[in-house]
Amino acid sequence: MSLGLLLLLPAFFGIIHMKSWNPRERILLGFLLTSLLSFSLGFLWLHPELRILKVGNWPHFAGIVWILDGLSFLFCSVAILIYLPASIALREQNSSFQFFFHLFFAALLGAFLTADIFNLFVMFEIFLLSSYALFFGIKQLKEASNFIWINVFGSAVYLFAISYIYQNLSTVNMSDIAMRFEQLPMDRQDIIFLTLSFVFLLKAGLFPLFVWMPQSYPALPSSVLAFVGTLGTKLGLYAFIRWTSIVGGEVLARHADLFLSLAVMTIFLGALGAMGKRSLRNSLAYLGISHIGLLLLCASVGTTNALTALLVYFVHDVIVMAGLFFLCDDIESARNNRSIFNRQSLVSYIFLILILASAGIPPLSGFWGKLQILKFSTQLPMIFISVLVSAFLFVYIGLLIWSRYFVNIDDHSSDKAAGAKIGISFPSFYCLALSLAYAFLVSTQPTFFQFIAKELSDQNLYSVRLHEASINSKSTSQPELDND
Amino acid sequence: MPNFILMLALFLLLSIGLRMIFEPAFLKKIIGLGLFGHAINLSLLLSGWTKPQYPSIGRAAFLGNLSFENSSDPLPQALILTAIVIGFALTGFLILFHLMSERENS
Repeated sequence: MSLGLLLLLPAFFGIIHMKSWNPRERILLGFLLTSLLSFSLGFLWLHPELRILKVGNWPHFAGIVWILDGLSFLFCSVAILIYLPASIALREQNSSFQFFFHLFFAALLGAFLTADIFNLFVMFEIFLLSSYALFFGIKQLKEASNFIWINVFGSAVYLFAISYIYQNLSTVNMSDIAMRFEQLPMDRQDIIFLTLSFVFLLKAGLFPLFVWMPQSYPALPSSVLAFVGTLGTKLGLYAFIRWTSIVGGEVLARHADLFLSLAVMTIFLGALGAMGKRSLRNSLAYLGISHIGLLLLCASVGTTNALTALLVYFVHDVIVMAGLFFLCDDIESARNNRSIFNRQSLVSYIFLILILASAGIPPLSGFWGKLQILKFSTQLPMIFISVLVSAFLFVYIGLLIWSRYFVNIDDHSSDKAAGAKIGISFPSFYCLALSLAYAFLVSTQPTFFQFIAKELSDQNLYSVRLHEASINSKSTSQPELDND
Repeated sequence: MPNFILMLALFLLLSIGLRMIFEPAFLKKIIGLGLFGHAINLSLLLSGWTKPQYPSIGRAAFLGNLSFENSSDPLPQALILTAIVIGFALTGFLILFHLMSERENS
């Protein structure tokens, strides 16, 4: 029931937001939704037997199943953490915009929680339709057109892959796929694995497939980008991690070279794009692509240590990139008004700390993820070198962007004209605090991430948990039903 | 043999649909997308095409002595239904999108 709350509450709040509330009430609603969601997530963390929801209480091979395991717990909690500042930054938008924003959030949580590959498709479609609608509301249609057609194509390929899976395995449930996948002949395994990976990496934005992303970014206000741009691509990443953990390490290892080289190219092409672009949000978008490449590098190695590094780096990346995007509107509007921020202003310091954290300067949050990546890749010299080179490149890019948008104004007379009047926005400050807290947390307690990664790389655990839960549910979920 | 005919239809729909999606005219794109969607639905149907001579399990099973052995798999049809609904919503959205961008240009 608590899991059902996680699925239904965001959409329900979207309907509540249809009424024309004033901005202050919208902030209150955002706080209410965040606290309700985090309460039910914490409740589920304390009660492992409730972490599976079978609609209609049918057995898992016949009905629709939702599961909260370690990976989906982490992704859901990060989404909820970023939802709060995004809802505050978007308080001025109108009610139809709010509805689609919440629908987007609901689809995101649904995709993280589903245990059914067809339901994942449905959640992808809700997610894409609501993000088209966000473009639609902004009335930037030309830029959205590429985004829409590419994703329509991706969905079509996804459906073909599902029909092929159903033909060969006669199931669409993820744990059943995991159990039966190894009995398939090798060429069919490859076809299924590569087709679905293509779809997921299209959404995540790997090297040849990321072209659609930065083109469509300037259309949206940057507070939407902080949510859609950071978490939208991470949905593709989540699906890819889940998919590789379903099909198992052998199939992944067979194609690891392909994914590794694509990921390395993504890192460096993203970095080049970030250096070359003149507008701030485009630079940040390319920087985000570059970080996606780093994450996919870990995902395509696929060992437990690599997955640990991935999870540690992922949380940091979402928080920091969201913080940078929240600052983006203020900086760009100041630049359009022919004024520029002073380097000694507070906004400048926040931006500098965030962008250095994303580059991975030691005490900040990015460093711990990079450290984990370097630690597991000591036997893999190609990855080790490219990660090390990219780390220096990121520091250079961060300082380049910072020096382009913040100038050193010595005489205090021009300081007043320089637009220091814009107060710091709460969302970026929140992200900064979160990033610092995360750096402290992860440097003292990395075992949580190891636990999740171990659960992921143990392929059987997913299905075993499902079966255990289906045995348990006969005794435990009966009173649950009466409550409903 | 019906399997072969369906495969042929799938291939034709797929190729015509793909060709039409890359047309510059918007209406042809939409029609191509529709044909492409039908190809997908056919492939979903074919994925459960084990016993085409029997109906899928429904209430008729209790009336007409059907059992699991002489009934076909209902799940692909549920999947197709979902895919059709999503495709319908997407087509409607794309047409509206086109109308809005036309209005924006003029």
